Amino acid sequence: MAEAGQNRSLVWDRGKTYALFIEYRESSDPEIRDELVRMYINLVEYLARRFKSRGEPLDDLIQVGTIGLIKAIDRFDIERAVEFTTYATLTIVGELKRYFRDKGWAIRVPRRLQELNLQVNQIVNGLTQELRRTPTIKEIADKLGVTSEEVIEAMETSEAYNFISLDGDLSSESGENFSLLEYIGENDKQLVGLEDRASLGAALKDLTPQEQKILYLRFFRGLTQTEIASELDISQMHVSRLLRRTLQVLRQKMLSFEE
Amino acid sequence: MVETDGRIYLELPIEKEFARLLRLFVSGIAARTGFDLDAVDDLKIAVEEAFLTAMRRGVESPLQMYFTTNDISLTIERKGKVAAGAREEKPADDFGNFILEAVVDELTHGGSDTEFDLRLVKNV
Repeated sequence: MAEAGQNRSLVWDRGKTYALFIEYRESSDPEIRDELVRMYINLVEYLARRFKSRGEPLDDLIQVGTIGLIKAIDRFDIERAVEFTTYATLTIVGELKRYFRDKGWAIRVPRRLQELNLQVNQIVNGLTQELRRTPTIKEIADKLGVTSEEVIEAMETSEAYNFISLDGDLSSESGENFSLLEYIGENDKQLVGLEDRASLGAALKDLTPQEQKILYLRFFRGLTQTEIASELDISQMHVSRLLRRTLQVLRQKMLSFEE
Repeated sequence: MVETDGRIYLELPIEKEFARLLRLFVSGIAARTGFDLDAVDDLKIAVEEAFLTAMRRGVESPLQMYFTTNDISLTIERKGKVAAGAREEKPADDFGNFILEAVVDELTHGGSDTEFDLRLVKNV
């Protein structure tokens, strides 16, 4: 871990880095690798701090990030026209994201289902483009070589996924500053049957801008989840999760007005 | 679960934990019917809303759910008994209807004063 006397600023000696990498490639000497780790540990600390608000101890994040740094050192190709800091940043952030992704399951979900859930998530986009329409469960199952029931089970496990996931944070940018109340006017035809608009208005304030936007696109503009996913550049399953959570929040809020 | 002539009948306790079972159940039927991913998700929202509304309104256990499929649609019927007067609509139901209307093609409320019935149709 970080020791006194190390480089604290985010500036590195490129010449020294290059020389150490040449030496490391020739000798595979672990002491040289350690030297590189010491040189760049401040990059790990800097990146780990960016994830500090997600409830994990900083020391743990630095440890995870350090694994990413070591992987970057082992894999970095000095012949390629890319700075080591650029390459290492991607690897370290990738390691941190993976850590959060693996920790993101709110309840224990079998590894097989977690992996299948990710596969389904990935394959839906490709199939949608390939078929030029939303795929059926059977088409997803056939593509993955599993049964429809396994796909359904895997999709449902995504409900167990905790919302500290990084995808959620990144995607929330697309809904930034969105206010559903500004979009739904008093005479909005979709709201004609809704007697208690004041309750809904108050309930909407508890939603994030992204959740309000998804709600608006699905229930007021009538977009499908796949279309919303495309518009917000997130996965269909993520839209599904957010939509379900949004409805849960609204139901609870509306109920509290009844009591 | 009983299946007779393409109509599947399910009875389940009115407890929140069973909403998830119902979501899984309708996913399976919808997948077999040939609905796409978006429609399957719509149906999951629909049955959950129908179940939770019944729970809020104090429908007696077990809740009865009927699923009828053919090549072009899935019909879901909810049948439950409530105390007299419990059918009066409240804001949360109003919101629930708004959601249901958005995710299914047909929505019909039915039953007598002590019945809390609902019929939903989703076309493929």
